[in-house]
Amino acid sequence: MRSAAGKTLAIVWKDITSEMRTKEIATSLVAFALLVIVVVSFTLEPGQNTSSIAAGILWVAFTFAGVLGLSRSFVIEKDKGCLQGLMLCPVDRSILYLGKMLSILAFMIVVEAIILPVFIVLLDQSGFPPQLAVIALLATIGFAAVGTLFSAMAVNTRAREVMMPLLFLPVASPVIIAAIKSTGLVLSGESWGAIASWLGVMAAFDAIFLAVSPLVFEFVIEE
Amino acid sequence: MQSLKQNARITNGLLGLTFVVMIAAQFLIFVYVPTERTMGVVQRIFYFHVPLGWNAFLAFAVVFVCSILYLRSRDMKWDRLARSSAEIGLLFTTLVLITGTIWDKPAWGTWWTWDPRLTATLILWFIYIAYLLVSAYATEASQGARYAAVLGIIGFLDVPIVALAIVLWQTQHPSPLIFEGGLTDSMLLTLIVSIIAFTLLYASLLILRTSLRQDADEIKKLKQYME
Amino acid sequence: MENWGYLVAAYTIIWVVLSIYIFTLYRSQRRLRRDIDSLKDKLKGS
Repeated sequence: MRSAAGKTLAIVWKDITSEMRTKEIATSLVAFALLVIVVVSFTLEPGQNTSSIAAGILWVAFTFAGVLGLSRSFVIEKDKGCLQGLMLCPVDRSILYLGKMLSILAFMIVVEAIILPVFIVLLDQSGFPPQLAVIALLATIGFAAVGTLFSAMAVNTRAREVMMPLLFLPVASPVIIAAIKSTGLVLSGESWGAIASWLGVMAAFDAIFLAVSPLVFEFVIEE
Repeated sequence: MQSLKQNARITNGLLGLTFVVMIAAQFLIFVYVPTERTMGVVQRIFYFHVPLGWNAFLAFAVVFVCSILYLRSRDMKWDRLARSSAEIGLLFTTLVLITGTIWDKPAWGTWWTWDPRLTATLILWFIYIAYLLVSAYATEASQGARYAAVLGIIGFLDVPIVALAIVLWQTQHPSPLIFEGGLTDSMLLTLIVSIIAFTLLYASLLILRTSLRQDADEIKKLKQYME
Repeated sequence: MENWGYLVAAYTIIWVVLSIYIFTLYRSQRRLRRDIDSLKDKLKGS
């Protein structure tokens, strides 16, 4: 029998290989995030693309794309009947959670890695501060931690598409605030000291929900 | 049924006590406490706003505890208690937002100030809505109870982090201070009595609403017997 | 004494909303209790 890590990786691998074949999630999310950035930029007057506003636009795009990607992750499972198949495996429910969470995390990181440089160019920011990578990572972990849980819940309710953002956005709001504020600071040249407390907020969020979500996941998945 | 009659007596007794304390609070709020210097008469909204806010939070704490108890025991009575508390909590939260807005306009000049308390309350409001929608949109009753309980736990754990994030956000944009000179003794007394009055009101409403759910479940059971 | 209007508005809203809620609860309770009694009578009868 495989170890827990082995089973987790098996789930992640299944998701990644199926995505490699179709590439449907990655391409649609990248296109969507870019569209959000462009559309929101319509509201800007020239010279208004300050670092704080640009940070807001970036994270609105990432949040909406994140919500879409998270929803898709379980909708596909449910539609293809994979969810029941997964549940028949004698796998501890928290491993199921971890696997789904890691695969969606991987997808989102790939999307963000593509969008970030484009964003820097489109909104004419002065450069790519390395802190951005850390901010994005912490925030995305937070998104994936609660998003996986809520996506699994939403997919089983009657108002699927709307339910997921309704659950996710209020709960993830501290991460969104922290991401926007720290990104704004970092884009205007501040360094680690200025964003330390925001990173702390995201780290605390990640720690708490990475600990609690796997525990409650079984109540969401049970038939 | 014995318990139904007992329930009614407790409920009415509690409601009576609430009424008495509430009247006392009204006297303190409108007659006893002196008008505050900077904001004038409008400041008295404070004596409603804060107790409502405290109870909105208390209601969610009750949701949290009952959610855990439900997931452990699957006894529907915890679900009934949790959902009733959420309903009342939503009501109180809505009133906090409304009174906060009405207070803000004459006090600071704008209808909304994005100050930490009000913003955190707004997010709590959304979490309550999500809680009630999840149970409403579930495909069947036990799933609704389960999902709501999960959200009750997650949401409650989220509240301190939300508060932290918003306070951090606002320290960079300090919002206007509340009172010159802080709370005097008479203000403190009035506030405490009002908090007690509203907490009693919350408890009464909770018992009333929960027994109503109990009645509804009883009817469902009786109807099943008949088939 | 200028901002009386706001105070009155806030006070009224609070008590109107709470009263409506309490009234609705009591009315539902009476209806449900009546339904329970009538269902129980039917069960005894059958």
